[in-house]
Order: sequence, then C-alpha cells, then structure tokens
Amino acid sequence: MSDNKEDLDLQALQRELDDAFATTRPRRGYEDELWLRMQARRPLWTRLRDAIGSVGARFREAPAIPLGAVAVLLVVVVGAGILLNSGLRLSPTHSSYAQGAQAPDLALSEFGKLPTPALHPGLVPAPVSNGPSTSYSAALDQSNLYFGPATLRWTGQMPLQSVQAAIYRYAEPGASLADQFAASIGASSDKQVRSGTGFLGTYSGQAFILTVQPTEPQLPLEPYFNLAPTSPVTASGGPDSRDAAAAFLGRYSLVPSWPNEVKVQQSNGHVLVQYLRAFQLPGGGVAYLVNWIGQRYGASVDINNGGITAASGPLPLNLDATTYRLISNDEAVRMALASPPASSQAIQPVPAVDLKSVELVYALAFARGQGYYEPAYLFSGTFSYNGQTYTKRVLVPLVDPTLRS
Amino acid sequence: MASDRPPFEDVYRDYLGRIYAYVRAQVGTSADAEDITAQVFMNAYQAYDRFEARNVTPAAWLFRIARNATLDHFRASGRRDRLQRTIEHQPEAEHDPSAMAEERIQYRALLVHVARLPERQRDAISLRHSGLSFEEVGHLMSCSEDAAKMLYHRALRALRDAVAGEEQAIE
Repeated sequence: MSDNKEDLDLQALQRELDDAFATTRPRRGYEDELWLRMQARRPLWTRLRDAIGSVGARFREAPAIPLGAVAVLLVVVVGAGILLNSGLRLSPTHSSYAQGAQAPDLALSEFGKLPTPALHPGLVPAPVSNGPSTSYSAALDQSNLYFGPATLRWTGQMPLQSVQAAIYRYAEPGASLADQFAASIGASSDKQVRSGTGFLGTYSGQAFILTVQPTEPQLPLEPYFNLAPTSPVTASGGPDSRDAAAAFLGRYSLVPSWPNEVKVQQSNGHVLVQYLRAFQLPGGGVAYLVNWIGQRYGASVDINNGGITAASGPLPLNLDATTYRLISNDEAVRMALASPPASSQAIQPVPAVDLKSVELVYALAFARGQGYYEPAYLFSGTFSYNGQTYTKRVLVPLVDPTLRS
Repeated sequence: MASDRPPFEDVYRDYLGRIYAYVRAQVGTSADAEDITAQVFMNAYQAYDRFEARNVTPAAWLFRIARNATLDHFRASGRRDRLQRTIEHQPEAEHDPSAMAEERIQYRALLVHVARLPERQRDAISLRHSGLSFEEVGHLMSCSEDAAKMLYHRALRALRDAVAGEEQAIE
C-alpha cells in the first residue's frame, strides 16, 4: 500500500470515527432521567438547605420548621428519593432497554396513565359554591378572572430550557390515617363534636375541634384538616401576624414542611396568613401549587381581631415521585393557544387576549383513588371589558398527552 | 466556591453525550454504558465543589472520572468476560431495529472494532475522538503528548487493519 493511499484510508477512518463518536448518544429521556436521579441522591441536608434557601432567598420570611415538621419532610423526601431511585435505577428491568423492548416509555410512566389537571372555574364571577367552608376558600378571589372563550395570542417569552419536574402521587387516606394524624396533635375521635358525611373524621382536643376531610375530587382539592379553637386563641409570638400564625401551628407541629411562601392578607380586622405550597424542582427553584382557578394555595391561619379562629391545610401524606416525558415549551404554547375555554360563560364580543406571562406550576388531578401533583404551565393575559381589567388564565399540563388519560 | 466554575447542570448537559459515547465505545451494551455514565456523573456531582476550572478543563476532568469508572467496571466484572459479551451481544443487537433506534448508534460495527482493540489503544482512540487534545489524552494516560500521538496512530492503523480484515472475510 502506498503512503498516499494509506494516508487517505486513515483520514477516511478518522472522519468515520469522528462521526461515530458524535452520533453515539444515550436513548431519549436518559439525560433528564439521570439528572433527576442525581438530584434525588444528593445528600439530604443539601436538599433541605437548598429547599429552604431557595425559598428564603426569594421571600422575605419563611416560617420556622419544628422537628416534627422536618420529620414529615424527611419522610416525603426520602420516600420520593427511594421511589425515584427504584423507578429509575439501572436494575434488571433497565437492562431490558437494550433488548429492544419499549422500555423507556414504561419506565417514564410507572404511575400509568395520568389524569389531566384542568381549571374548573364554575360560574364567573360568582364565588365558589362547592368549595370547602374553611379558610381554604376564604382567600379565593376569582373576581376579574375570565375563563370563557377568547381569541388568544402568545406575546410573552418562554423559558429557554425545557421543564424538568417530577410527578408526585398520594393515595387517598382512610379514616385510620386521619385518626393517626389527630392523635399526633393531641385530638381524639369525638362523635359528639360534629357529624355528617364527607369527613374522614371529627375530633376534639384541648380547646379545639379538628375535622379531616377527604379529597374533593370535583375541584379537586387534596385531603385537608381544619383546626378550630373552641374560643379564639390570643395570638402569641409577637405583633407580626406571621409570627402568630407560626407559633399557633408550631404548637401542633403543623408548620408546613414543604417549600412555601408566606402571604398575609388583611381586611377589617381579619388577617389571613397563607403558606403557599410549592414543589422543589430538580434544577433548583420551586413551582407553586395552584388550585382549580389557577391561584396558589396551601395552608392558612385565620386571625380575627387578634384572636386565631382557625387553621387549615393539606393533610400530611407520603408522596411517591417519578418522572414522565414532558412536552416542549413550543408545544406548550401551541396547546395554550388551541385549548378550549374552561368555562362556557362568555363575554360578547369574544375578547382578544394577549397571553404575556407564563409560570411553571403544579396542579392536582385525581383519579382511581389517587391524587397526582403534575407540572403545568399557567399562561396569563389581561384585557379590558366595560372599564374593568380581566385576567385570562390557561392551564397547560406538561405531561405528554399520550401518557395522560 | 470558585467563581470561574460553570454551574454543574451546564457541564452535565454539555458533556453527557460525549461521555456516554466514550463509555459506549468501551463496553458491550447500552445498559452497561448507562450504568457507567450514571456513575461518572454521580461521582462528578459529588466532587464538583473541589473542581478547579483554572487547573483543568471540565472535559479533561470528566474524562478522567469516566476513564476510571470504565476501568473499575472492567476490573469488577472481568475484562475478558466483558469482551466476550461484547462479541456475543453486538451482532444480536444489530438485528434488533428497535434497540438500534433506542441506542442512537450509527456506527455500531466500527465501535465494536474499537472495543476489541488493546486497552491503551482503545483508550487513545476513544479519548481523541471524544474531542480531547493529544496533550489531554497524554495527561490522562500518564504519558507525553508525543507518546499519545504515537499510540493513537498505532491504534488507528490497527483499527484500519481490523476493519479491512473483516471486509475481506465477508467478501
């Protein structure tokens, strides 16, 4: 073989090697899957530090976290970590990927087909009529929200990076779990306290009444508790309503263990302290949980004329976690513009709305006795009608439609 | 924390594909490649606080971790067994279209030949075509830049002969 021929052969081989290494890549989904696993395997204290730090950095004040609440968080985090790891571990089932089975989609859908979260505004602007009669609903204000038909246009800026977010699942609790929860805060079952359907349990403790309600699937709303002192409790913890709320919740180890923002609303002697619930994202930061009209929610404490009258919030539950294939940001925009209105109640003429902002949120969907916290984009835009400014919201679930029921 | 250190997620996104390709060229199955790649980035993630961008590029740092993880893999399972599995598994996988699509490998046969090279030759080829300079290859393989070049060219000729030998056998 001449030197020239050999050189040409070797150069061709080098080009082929360049192509071979440049085009050899892991299966689709592996990159996000591994990233989530890495996040889940981070030392617990760093996850807690980041979770607390990221919230603390963004908001002026975060509530203190008592040991009891941290313990609950640990259960959730460790449980999620174990499930993430077990679901995504390179296990014998993983090895089957290389055997040509349709493994990736199965691996990314271990919860099966997911129900689809959606906005359920009901009548606008009528107040929520079927919501819980607790402070959960007290903060709901859907005036000037519009969910009817509109001509939509996207004029905002989507995030550059596609979303990475886990899906969380809880199993609908039974009465025994409600009993355990009641016992943990010093309450015992009391049939005389309150009767009626729709409760997992009614309890009484020292100077308070506790009710625990199951998921309200029509909204949906996760299982929640409502703790009402038999007489208003003088707020302690200082003049700040946040401190008073934290002190009251801390007395029962009910300070939220999940990431949250504290929000205070005041009106005519009534103060509502809300702990808006968020979920940690694998790449850092959080996404807030929104309800059936796209508003953030979580736990809350009612204070009337300096006395605490009620506290409510989601029942502490273990969450399983996994990942699903999510749609791209471009696809999310297309789905937002093509989405049907959440309400048929329309303004005439049909308004034209520029959707200008988008927020990554979590929304609850419920099916088959299980609740699913799923990532979604909440698009928003405003328009004027009869001299008033209305806000139009569109919720776009991010789990691939083929993996949803 | 060093201010010149990029966020780990950027490093992860930038290098995952290259590290996977490097590992995949050494081992017989995509499952093994995923295992090792996962281990590489788990280790890197834990050690990232100690990474000094002034002293070494992210590529050289990651490929050192990848090289060590791959060597550990072979040590743990027995390299001879692994090579045997490589030889046995690759042709089977080639006949499975869904597996080929899944793995996203376009030059499977060529990578099989790379995997069959002697260890240092295979390493030189894989590191060089993963985008490292000869200086970085030499540094990782504990030899000079010139020695890395010589090793690489020797490996390239061996690879060419292996490919040509198979083509002749087929004809």
